[in-house]
Amino acid sequence: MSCSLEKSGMFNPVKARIWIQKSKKGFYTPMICRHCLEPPCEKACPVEEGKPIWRDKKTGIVHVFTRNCIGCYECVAACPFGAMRIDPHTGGVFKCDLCQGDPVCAKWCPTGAIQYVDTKALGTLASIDKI
Amino acid sequence: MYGWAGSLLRVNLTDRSVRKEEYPYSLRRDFVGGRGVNSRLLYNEVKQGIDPLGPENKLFFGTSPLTGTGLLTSGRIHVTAKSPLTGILGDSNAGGHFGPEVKWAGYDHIIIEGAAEKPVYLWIDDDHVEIRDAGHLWGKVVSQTYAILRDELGDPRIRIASIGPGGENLVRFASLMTDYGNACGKTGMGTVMGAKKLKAVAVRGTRGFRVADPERFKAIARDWFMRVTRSPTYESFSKVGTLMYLMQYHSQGRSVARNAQKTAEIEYIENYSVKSMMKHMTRSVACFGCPIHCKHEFKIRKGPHAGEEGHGTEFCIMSAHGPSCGNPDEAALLKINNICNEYGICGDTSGIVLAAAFEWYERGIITKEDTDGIPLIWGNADAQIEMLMKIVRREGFGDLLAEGSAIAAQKIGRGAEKYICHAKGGDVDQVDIRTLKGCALSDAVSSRGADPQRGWPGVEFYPMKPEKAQRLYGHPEAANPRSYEGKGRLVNYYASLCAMCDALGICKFSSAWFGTSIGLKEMGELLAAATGVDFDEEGMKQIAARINNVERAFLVREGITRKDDTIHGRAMEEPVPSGPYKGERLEKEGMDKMLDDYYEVVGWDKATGAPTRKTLESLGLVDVAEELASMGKIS
Repeated sequence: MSCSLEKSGMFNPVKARIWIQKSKKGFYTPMICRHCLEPPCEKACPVEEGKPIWRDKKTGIVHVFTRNCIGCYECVAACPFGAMRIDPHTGGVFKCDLCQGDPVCAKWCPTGAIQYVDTKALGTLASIDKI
Repeated sequence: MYGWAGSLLRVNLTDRSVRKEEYPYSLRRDFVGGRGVNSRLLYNEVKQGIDPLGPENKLFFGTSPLTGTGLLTSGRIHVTAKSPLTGILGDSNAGGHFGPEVKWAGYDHIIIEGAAEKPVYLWIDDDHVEIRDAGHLWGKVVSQTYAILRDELGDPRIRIASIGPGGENLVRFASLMTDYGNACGKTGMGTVMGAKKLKAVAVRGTRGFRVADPERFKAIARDWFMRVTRSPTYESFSKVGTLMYLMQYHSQGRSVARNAQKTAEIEYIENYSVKSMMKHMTRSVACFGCPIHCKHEFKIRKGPHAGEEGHGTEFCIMSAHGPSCGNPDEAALLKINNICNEYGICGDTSGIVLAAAFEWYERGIITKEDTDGIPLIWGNADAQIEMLMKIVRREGFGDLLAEGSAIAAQKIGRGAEKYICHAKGGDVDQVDIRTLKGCALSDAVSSRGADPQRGWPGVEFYPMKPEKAQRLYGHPEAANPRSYEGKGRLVNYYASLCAMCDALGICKFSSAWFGTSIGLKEMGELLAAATGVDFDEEGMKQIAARINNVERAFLVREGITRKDDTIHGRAMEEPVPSGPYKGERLEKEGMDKMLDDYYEVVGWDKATGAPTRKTLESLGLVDVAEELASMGKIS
């Protein structure tokens, strides 16, 4: 809920960039964009000039800007994690941008199930989801 | 608008019309939401003397400004109607995820009017509201309804409130199930839905809503989280939930067995110990946004019921269908719990009515011929399950028991009424009420019949020093469970707390009622941050009093007077038979004294039990005062 509040100013789970996946065994896992090294969404985007999806080489964040988006939803279909989401009201797409490096979900999560850490520290936090 | 979604949805099943209405500011400012607004709407819109199962009755679903905000325990939905079980105000609330979804769809309250000719269900997809045919769902159990509807509507994310065959067959204590395994159990809200031939309400909400001050709201919400998770009860309660209470009350000398014939005398108590129950539990389950996760899923691995899985169970059902029916088999209890969930009947009330039937059978008031050949002998779990299924289907003797214990006892006669225990038709719960005078008062004056969730003063369960009681509740004896002194203010305090929890749509397990440090002051602060309206502690007290009075006015209009504010049956007649409280009685004089005290605190007439004109007018309920005066109920 903190995600939708931060990004859209309202409590509305369909506008959240993060969601909880329930496995068949009944485990709950928070899911977001993985910010892939070679993003399938970026590849799938047919827009040639002023590509709305690109990966920032310095930070590793995969950005999406809807200004040049033509609304073909190829990126939505391409994402293996379902991280690219469609806003039911505007029809535009959106996804997690890690709040530019300071994610509110990790700040808000009271149990520590969501943490924002360096990949190097991951080994010691192997049992915890890294975002 | 902040906090509130801003609309009321009015659905008329008779002429199949759907109307979206504006939510009047005065209504939400004075009653906040949930139980408060529901009760006010019930008073305004449901006329005196109507048949609860007729089309004139209305069903109100209510959310609050906090519902669906992600605040802990903000996932509740409150349902109100005139009760078919008690004939007075009926309401009940449940957790799960249904409430937030209604709110996100853009509605604070849903009002269901009239009755359909054929089974229907309601599909709410934001602004798109449709009354659809439910012929294929009729007769299906709750989990089937759930699966079929999610499949039919093509979205696994939608949330559903539905009834089972119990509600369809108009069992008077049918529950309204939200999702699967959360029940609005008490007072037969499922029955009202069944009478309206409304099988289910399915909702998908994508509109969302805003709060006035997000930063402040987040800060307070976080503070609440810390208060709850650091409270002394949190650790054990989050693991075991309400299952621990049977043992706890047993060791306190308050557990009941064999329809309250015995107190603190359960030979097989080890079967219901935390260890024994937890061995069946597979994991904890949480409602929306809740860190307490007191619910469980269970699976029975061995014995005749092996393979049975489901949600549950809770203390009241456990005690009612367990020791109260003399049932020593906890696996059979879990099976019964599943039947209650699937067929949609109140596990608590059904256990109490069965326990009464067992005792009537023991005493020869009813015989094997009456019970269709089923031997209702204490501890016969198979007979218990068979009779429960007869209740659900309203077959044979089950048809009579499906009326609830008070009505069934009246119909049977032959002294059957001596062996039940109720207040205004609501069954007294699974704790020996004679050992807790304040709780007895709370039951007697509760607006929906005897009920612990209406403000049992929890402080009576645990010893408190007189000086502290004096400081907190204004009388040194207030927290003493054996004393009749100082109970008026104590019960009013807890009743206000419960009323505000229900109006705010939060779970009482996160409030001061349950020993955390979240009281009316904190609720006022958070509500102000959410809505931008100037709420504070004093305002919360006023709203609680307003809710209490408008509910009382509904009862008074239905003919309730001071003489109904008592406990009927065994608790008033006999002393506690055994245990540390042996010989303790609930005396009539003591009850009268407590009632006088309570009436004085809340400003009701000591002779009639009706709110005085002065009280009503000071709360801004002038129209209520006028109506009651025109009926001659108040001067």
